[in-house]
Amino acid sequence: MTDDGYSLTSSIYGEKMSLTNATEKEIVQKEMTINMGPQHPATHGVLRLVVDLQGETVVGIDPRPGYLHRGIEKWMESRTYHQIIPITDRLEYITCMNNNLGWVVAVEKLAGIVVPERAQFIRMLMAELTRLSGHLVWLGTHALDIGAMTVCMYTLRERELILDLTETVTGARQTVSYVRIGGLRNDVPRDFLDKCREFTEIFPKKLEDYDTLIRQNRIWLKRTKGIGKFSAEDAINYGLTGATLRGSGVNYDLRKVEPYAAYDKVEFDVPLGTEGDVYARYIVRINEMRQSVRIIKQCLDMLPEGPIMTADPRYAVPDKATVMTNMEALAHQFVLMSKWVNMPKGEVYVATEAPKGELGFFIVSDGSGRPYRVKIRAPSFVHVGALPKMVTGHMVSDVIACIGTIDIVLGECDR
Amino acid sequence: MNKLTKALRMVFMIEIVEGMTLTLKTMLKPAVTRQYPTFKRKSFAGSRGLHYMDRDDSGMKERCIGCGLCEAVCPAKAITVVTEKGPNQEKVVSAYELDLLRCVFCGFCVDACPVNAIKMTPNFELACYSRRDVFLTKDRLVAEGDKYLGKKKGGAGK
Repeated sequence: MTDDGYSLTSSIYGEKMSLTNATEKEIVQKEMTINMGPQHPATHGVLRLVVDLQGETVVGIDPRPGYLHRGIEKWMESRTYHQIIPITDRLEYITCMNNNLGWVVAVEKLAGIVVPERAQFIRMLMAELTRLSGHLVWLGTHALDIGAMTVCMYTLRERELILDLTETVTGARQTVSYVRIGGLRNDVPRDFLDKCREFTEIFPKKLEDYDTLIRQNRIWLKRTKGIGKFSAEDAINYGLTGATLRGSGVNYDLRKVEPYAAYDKVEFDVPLGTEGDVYARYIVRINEMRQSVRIIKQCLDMLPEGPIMTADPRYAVPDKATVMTNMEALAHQFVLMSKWVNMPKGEVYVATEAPKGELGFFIVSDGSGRPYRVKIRAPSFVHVGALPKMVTGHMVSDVIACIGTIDIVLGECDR
Repeated sequence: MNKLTKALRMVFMIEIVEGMTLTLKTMLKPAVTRQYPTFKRKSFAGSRGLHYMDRDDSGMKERCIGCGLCEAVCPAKAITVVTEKGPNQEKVVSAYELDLLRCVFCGFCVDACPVNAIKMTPNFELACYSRRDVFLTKDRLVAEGDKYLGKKKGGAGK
């Protein structure tokens, strides 16, 4: 018998459990530590949370990531710059194109490769399509976690259209491995642009449907308004990026701040929230989807003609027809595919705006065809670190809402 | 006015009625899902699925010349190429093995091949009962090619 009124061990020895002796007040005061995850459907993968509870109120939360650690950064050291492209698909496995792009943009900056205009526009087009797909998965699962079951069915229906578009271009639905250093794997098929235009006509109407379902739903408002508040100052101090940061009203979008691909040639707005709570971030992401559609429409209108691989003969992967007819191209193909060319020595950090936030690749090059060290700045990992500040003081069920709102994918968090 | 509308919306649960209307409307529309094993979607050209090996112009043997470039580029190290000297001092591909359990279907081998020997079909239905079934040898790769190309040419309608 302990002094707090009850003891579980006593029941093992046949003694009467004295739980009844404790008054209700004492039970509430008793702090309890429970495990949430790693195998929990609402943790979006394998995230383990050690939650300290006082009654149903969270007083402390300790995220323990690492259950999906595959040693990707170390793995990268033993592969060439070219071979690393498929493993970036496995970082954030919902929006693979943005990861491909992040890696390739970093390598291109290291080597100073100039990418042709058409390739830049197709990259941007595909990245925005993938961003839509990522946000749709987020909206569906976030609503599902909170209890709005229907939204998930609708979002996955539209996501299917995007995945079909992706497959016609890249040959794969999710793990695309489409972007190449200096350009692209292949040009878009002829009917793709029409299909894509059709999609941009349909999609805004579907966004209205999602709004009809949850935007003013009283349960949704009760579950999201005022939950997981982050002031602008805190959000910056915690290193939040992406829509999670912009929900707090900080205007920081890498597509505007440090334009990569062709983001400086298209017009789009950066949606901002004011409250910094779960609802504000929801609104920001919905508006971001509208902006993505706007970017895609502009891409389709402005898409220039031209080559899709860089003119730099050192880094350009020769196309198949040239390889089969030209001896020099064949020899270069062998070099590029088996060990890649020697890269300039040095260090480079390039960040791109992935759907989850700032995805950065830090590459240390020792002058060979393989990176000496790669560090991935994964937005999900940083966002998990903000979870304690976000959740403390709220109820257990709000933990789920907060995990949803920071939009994490554990493949990227643990790497 | 605004407050009044808000109050009325609150009392009559307008937003819930709107949501339910959408659900009911969608219910009356034809289903967007497919009953998968019975109804299959037409595969897209260029989808990356099961590999096959093309035959050379004579049609008697595989097109592979044993350069080993696919083995070198494969990020998952799924491909093994073994070559030896033939009776007339030529290079003979004595073994070409592809372990589908390691393969990530990135398509790098297809991009790298300088003679267009290894290619991919859009076939993604690769489930099987034993590990032996997904270990593709040279002969099996050529057989897969015959199967795929025959179907394509003959237009069996599947």
